[in-house]
Amino acid sequence: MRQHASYWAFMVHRVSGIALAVFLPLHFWTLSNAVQDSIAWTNQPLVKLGEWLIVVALAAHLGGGLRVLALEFLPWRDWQKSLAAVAGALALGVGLVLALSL
Amino acid sequence: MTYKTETMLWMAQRASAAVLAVCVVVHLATIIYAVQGGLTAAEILGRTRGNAAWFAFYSVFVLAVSVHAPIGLRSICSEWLRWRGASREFVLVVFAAILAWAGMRAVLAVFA
Amino acid sequence: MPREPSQTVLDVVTYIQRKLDPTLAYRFACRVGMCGSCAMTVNGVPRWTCRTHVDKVVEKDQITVGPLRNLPVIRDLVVDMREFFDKWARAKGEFRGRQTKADDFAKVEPQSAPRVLVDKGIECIGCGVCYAACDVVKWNPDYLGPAALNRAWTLVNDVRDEKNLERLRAVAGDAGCHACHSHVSCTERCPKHLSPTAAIAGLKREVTKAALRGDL
Repeated sequence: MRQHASYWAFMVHRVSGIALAVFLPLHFWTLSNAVQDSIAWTNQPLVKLGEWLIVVALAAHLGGGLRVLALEFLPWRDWQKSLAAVAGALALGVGLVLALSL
Repeated sequence: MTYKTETMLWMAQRASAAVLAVCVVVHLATIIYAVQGGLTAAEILGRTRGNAAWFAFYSVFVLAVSVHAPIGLRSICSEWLRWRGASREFVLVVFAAILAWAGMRAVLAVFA
Repeated sequence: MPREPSQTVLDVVTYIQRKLDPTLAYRFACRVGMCGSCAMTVNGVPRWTCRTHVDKVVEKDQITVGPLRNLPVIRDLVVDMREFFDKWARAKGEFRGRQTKADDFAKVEPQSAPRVLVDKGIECIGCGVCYAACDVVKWNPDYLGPAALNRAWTLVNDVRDEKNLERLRAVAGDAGCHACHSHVSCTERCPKHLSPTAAIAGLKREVTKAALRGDL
């Protein structure tokens, strides 16, 4: 079945949500331990890549979430397809900013 | 579960989403600022320790996440794993508790 | 089979049944895009076959035609629509007025906000294309679906109807409007260009208001 922009926006939103739900307990655990132990292991390139992916996932999930909130609570307009696009752009933008600094 | 409870869950999901929208923007901006500024872990902790405002902010963040994530997973369980009923609800409540506990532990470690 | 100018997929199916395979079962009625009976899956997409030109959908001289998705198949291209209409009833998709024939006509201002909302969704003819397009219907067997919820929304906004609270309770919850994830497939595929997505969003708002008032 040929899929459209809103469908991909949903799929990205859901998959990024799953990734975040899996990542968060690990994130909390690492933070609690960072205080006591050394976190030098987080400097490995694979970990850096993982961090970048998580930030992109967070930005993507935020973008998708804003799309849902707009569709559900704002009076219906015909520009919803642009919402999906804005959501995607937001995620990409944040990812790029972070990539420049990692 | 009744349609009333399910409606409440949906409302809690959207309300926590609105809170998280603010929290996530602040968090992302802060992280990007810290990373681009080349702050080390020790330097970051130097600024966060004993900071009541950040402590309060991240506590709200953790609470909102503990509500939002399990409700989000609930739909995924029923739609993609065909998992419904009391066992699903129980596991999700446990997951919420784990997120809240682990999250507050991290908040205490970084900001207290 | 022979290719004709301005040929529709319904023409193709009809030719096959008449000339190639008389046992083929399929539905149609008006063949001019008014009744919705000829809805089928064409190259993976639910459509009205009488309004689908072969030229628009053919891929390498081939078309794949199948029954509508998400509904039990009776035979070949014919599906059992009972569940579709049962859910319509479960969503309280029928009108219940307060007045009797002793009363004067109800006056509904056509440009009033509620009536404009009703008019946007009232043209649904129950063809099932949106139901076949919806992934939540596929994933959640209890989900009432876009058509039933769209009809419920037109009644929620009908100032003559008196069943609103009952209806809001019927469309709330995991099987109702709250299960919609705004994939917007229904709105994309609706041959009458209705927007069940908008209707369902409206139901979410009305149910929320009722819940906050303590009416739910």
